[in-house]
Amino acid sequence: MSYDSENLIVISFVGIYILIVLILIIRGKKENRNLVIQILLISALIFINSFIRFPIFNFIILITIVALFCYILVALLKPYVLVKKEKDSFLKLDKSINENTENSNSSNENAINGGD
Amino acid sequence: MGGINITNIITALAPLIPMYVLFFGAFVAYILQSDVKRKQVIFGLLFFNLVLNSFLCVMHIFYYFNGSNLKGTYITIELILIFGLIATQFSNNQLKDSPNKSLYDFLVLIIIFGLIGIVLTTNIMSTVLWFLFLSLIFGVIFFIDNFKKELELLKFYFIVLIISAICLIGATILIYLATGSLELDVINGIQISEELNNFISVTLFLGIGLLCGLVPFSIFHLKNYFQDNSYANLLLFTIFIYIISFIAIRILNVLSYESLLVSFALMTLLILGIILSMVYIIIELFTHIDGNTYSIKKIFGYSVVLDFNMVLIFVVFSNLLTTPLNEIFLNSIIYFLLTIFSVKMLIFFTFYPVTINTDEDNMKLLGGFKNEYRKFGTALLVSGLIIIVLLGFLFLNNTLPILFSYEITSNSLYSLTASFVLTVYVLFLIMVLIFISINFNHLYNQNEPQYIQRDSAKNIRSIDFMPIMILLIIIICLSLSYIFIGNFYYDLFKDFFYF
Repeated sequence: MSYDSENLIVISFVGIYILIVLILIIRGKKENRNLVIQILLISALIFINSFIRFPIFNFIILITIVALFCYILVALLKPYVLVKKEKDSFLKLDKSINENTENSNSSNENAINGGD
Repeated sequence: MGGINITNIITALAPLIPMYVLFFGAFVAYILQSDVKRKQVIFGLLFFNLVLNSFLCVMHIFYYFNGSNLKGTYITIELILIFGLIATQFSNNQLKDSPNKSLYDFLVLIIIFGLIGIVLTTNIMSTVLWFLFLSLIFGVIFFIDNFKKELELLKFYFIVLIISAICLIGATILIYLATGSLELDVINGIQISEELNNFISVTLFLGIGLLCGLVPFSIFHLKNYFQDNSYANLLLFTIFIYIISFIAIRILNVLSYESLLVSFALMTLLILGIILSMVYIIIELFTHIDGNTYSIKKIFGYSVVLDFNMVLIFVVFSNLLTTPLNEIFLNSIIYFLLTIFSVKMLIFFTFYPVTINTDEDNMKLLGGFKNEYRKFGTALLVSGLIIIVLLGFLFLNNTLPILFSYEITSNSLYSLTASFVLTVYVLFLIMVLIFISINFNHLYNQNEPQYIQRDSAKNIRSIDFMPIMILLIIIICLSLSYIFIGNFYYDLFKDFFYF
């Protein structure tokens, strides 16, 4: 494959990607829009990576994609972590409520004892 | 930019048209609101790509570019498109009335786009990145519309994904440092030191294999993935594993100077992997030790992992042979890979009556499909016949003389290895036949269904039988060309696999 055709492929694919992102932004908010843009960006970058013959650019793309991977993984794990935190806080709340009730019970008992 | 030749550009761009169409089509599928329209668009896109690719495929094999090095690539893309079309048909029954349906269809098209990308690229970094990207998307697609599913289920999957990412990216950087290039063509021609080569090939092997259930014990992280997934996702993941076996062969052959020690170590790991998945299939088929068992999805998934191990053990074994025997053996292996891929898709398609009726996958609860879906039952029986005749008789007929050749029998270590491989293969055939017969018995031969039926069970139309016919035609064509044209597959895939 000649360099000219490779350049053409890379440029045309970048063009298609920019067109898609523009349409997505203009059309207003749709659910999961950011996730879709990220996934399209990653796939476009990997596709373009096949046609770039300069290893330095390959490694720059590698770093970008790994960063995006981490971002998506964190976004994926976030709800799980949040749910876990909420669970923990609920447990703490339960504990504190139990402690409070125990305290109040004991104070009542004290009061009753005192009353006696 | 002086010497731009239009025909050159067209020939360079032609194989990429399916990729452009899928990339833009994925976006269109995400934008479209109506379910019916989206289904039509996806079907149209894949069908257009299939027709275009078939045309290019025929041109490359028979007519226009005689001696072209893209034959194997086109055939693999053709398989991806056919099975992708079948997978989208399965996905139509999932996620009804869900707001995430458009996102799901988008991801399915991106997966098919990625699978074609991983086959087309000759850059090792792109291969690695496609692999990791697709694995990540398979993780995302597992949770779609069901974010209540706990991440606990796929905790191991993501841990393994991170480990394999580290292995693969590390190996890529080492390859670049040793050879100064990332192109497979260039790496193939450069011989690096033996120690480094062994290290890199083992690292790549682990990176690819851990996620696909190649190495023993890695099967555990796929357990939940197989069981709690939908049928459509399972089919897509199956296609992914088979295509990765193509890629694994390719990468292993680029680094084919590995020592005997590494070959034997890899073979031991592979035999352990095969035995482990066989044991798991038996446990699933006959006992309830492993939690929710008798799951068709899990049994099918393990059998695919078994095929993957089987193909790679043959390829590693072929490294022990010298040239004329090597070519005949590799020809048989590629035939085996393509046929088992098609037969597994046929077996999967006989689950179609189950998927349109229910979400249940416990085969003890399923049944009663005998009267209504007779054609699917026949297809399941025929697939058993195909395995015993084509893969049992034809494959062994061509490979046994090689295993008992002077080259192997004169060396006791080689003959021991050959007998191990042969035993494992015979066990593999028996296992697949048990799997098919038990499935047939439960799905099509019993009359006491206990599953909960879907509210709106879809009717099977005449078009739904088409995949069965297409798969049967593919298998017949593969076998005829295997019988009548000597070294047909070796010549087709010689450049693709860098033999």
